[in-house]
Amino acid sequence: MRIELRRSTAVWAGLLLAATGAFLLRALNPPYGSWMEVAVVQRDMMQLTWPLALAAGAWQAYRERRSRVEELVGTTPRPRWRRVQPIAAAMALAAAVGYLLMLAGGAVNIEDVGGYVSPGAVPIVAIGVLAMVGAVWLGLAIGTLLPSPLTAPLLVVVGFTGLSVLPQMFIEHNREPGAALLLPFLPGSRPPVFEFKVLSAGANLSQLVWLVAIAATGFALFAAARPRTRMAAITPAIVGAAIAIPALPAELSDAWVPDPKATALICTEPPQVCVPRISRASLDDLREPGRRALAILAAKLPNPPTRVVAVLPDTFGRPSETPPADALPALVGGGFGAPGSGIDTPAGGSDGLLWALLDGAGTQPCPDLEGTPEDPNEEYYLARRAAAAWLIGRVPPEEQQLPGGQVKSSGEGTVTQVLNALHALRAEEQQSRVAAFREAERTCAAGDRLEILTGTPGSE
Amino acid sequence: MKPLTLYLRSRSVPAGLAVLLGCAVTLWALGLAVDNRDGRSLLVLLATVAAVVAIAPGLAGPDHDLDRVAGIAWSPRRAVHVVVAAAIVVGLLGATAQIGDPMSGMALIARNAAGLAGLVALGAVTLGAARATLLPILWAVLVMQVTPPMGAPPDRPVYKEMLTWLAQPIGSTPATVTAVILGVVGTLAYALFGSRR
Repeated sequence: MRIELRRSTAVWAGLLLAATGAFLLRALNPPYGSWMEVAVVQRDMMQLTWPLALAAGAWQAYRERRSRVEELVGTTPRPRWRRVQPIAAAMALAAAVGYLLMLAGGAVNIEDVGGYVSPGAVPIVAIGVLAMVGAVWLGLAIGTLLPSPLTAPLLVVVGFTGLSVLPQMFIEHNREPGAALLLPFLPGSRPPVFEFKVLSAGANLSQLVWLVAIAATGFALFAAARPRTRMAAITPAIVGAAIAIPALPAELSDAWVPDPKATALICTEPPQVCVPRISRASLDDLREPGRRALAILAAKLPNPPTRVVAVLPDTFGRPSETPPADALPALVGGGFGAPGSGIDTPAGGSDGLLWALLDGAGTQPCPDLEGTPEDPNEEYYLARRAAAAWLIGRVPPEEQQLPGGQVKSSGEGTVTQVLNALHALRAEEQQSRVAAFREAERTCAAGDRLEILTGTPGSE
Repeated sequence: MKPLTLYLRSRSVPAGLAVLLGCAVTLWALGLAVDNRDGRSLLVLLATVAAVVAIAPGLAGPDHDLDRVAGIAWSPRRAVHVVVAAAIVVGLLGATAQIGDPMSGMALIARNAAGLAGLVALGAVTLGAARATLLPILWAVLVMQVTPPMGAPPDRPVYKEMLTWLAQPIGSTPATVTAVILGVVGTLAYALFGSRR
């Protein structure tokens, strides 16, 4: 085994895989939020590293052939499947270690390394290692069957085309069928909010069965000496497919299930500021502005919320349910929160967070009223911003811009104007209007929000 | 004529041509099946990589010492070999890509093939003909992640634009410069030093 490691390309192959993968994990993706994310991105990247492992195997097999000792070795009494064991083991070890080194390289970029490690990340990494081992064995087999210096490079190109390019062209995005789980790489849940999701046990198991079958077929093909045994070597793959395919979910998104542990809230002592465990790191940033926001609401409104609860975006990047009246929602996780509402927007630091928390008098924007990204309902954002300005008691720092970052178009007026109109009313009237606004926003009732704040209804 | 035939056979050119034809046919077939515009140009890029890779084994003869002691001026012949091979790749793939609804511009294919051929030649000089494909394959595969439709290539700073030259649109000067440098340096180095043994 040690001899095999020294004389073969295994070490180089492992290093190459690790270096390529770690480079990709480091250079091409933003910092990762959690272990789960790194594990899944690494699996998703296998559309590239898997063909590379395949090529490494094929290259090694070609080298054996090129050394021109095949006939000499063939005369030894040991059967071929015994003879190829050391090299197969060495290559497998190299691929596995390469994969783990890659993960270590990616782990450097995790924002909160000590944070929550989802138990779902473990099988994802383990199955990734298994897929890599299967890839090198399959590569060894292909390299033995097609010994040519071009086999390895063409395998990379063909493998990459087949795994990464073609599925993207033919499968509608967001609607990948469950059969996508049969690919050696793991398409993350779409849209990629997999931080607080795990792959279901069934999906993991069917992947495990399928990839074990592929690895077995690869090894058997490599070790088979006669054409007839080669035919028999395909059996494991067929059996694996027969077991795995019926177990697959109808759609890929069904394979991703929420991870209740990751979304469980962890809170500070009262006044409570709570975040899901997965985004523990954001608690430090949220604590101080969160308490300030609670204090402001308690001072200015009836029935104020008593705790800050961070909500995770659902599949559309929005909070999924109506929050209870005693909770002040703050959006965490993902960089794609609704405009002006995420606590991810670090602009302005603690003050910026305070504004984000109190936007819309401490509510999340309603999807129905927001308009489309191309044509945002600017009047609506204006009303939300004005409510925050009334609560905080000053004009927002970026008066010339709406929270979404668009330069204000003329016609809707500015936050200052709305604020002045509001201040023109009696004090109790102001308070009840903002309270009504908050209630309407919280439940996402229909109606013009500016009308609630500054309009002149008949009840006046 | 006979020496040329023998030379081509010794450099396993028939096999390389077969691979090249295979690339062209595959590209043509995929071109019929895929109608996504970015995807089509990505397929052309992949086919170019595969086709240029097929040049590599022909960059060294079966016997290094025999070549070396032959009383032939190898340098110009080596240069001609690389240039002609790249030209055949460009011609064949370019023609294939123009069938029906054009998949990719001729200039883009020429730029990428020139740069990649230079890389293969450089690989042959530094690593030997058999391993020469390592450089272009790794570079291309790493760049693929930023190729549309998977991503958007960076348009600044200049060094990033040069590193992702394969993925850049044809108007990008740094990418063109990189391809030309790679092509010229690779061909020259190979002409002067030949393949490593």
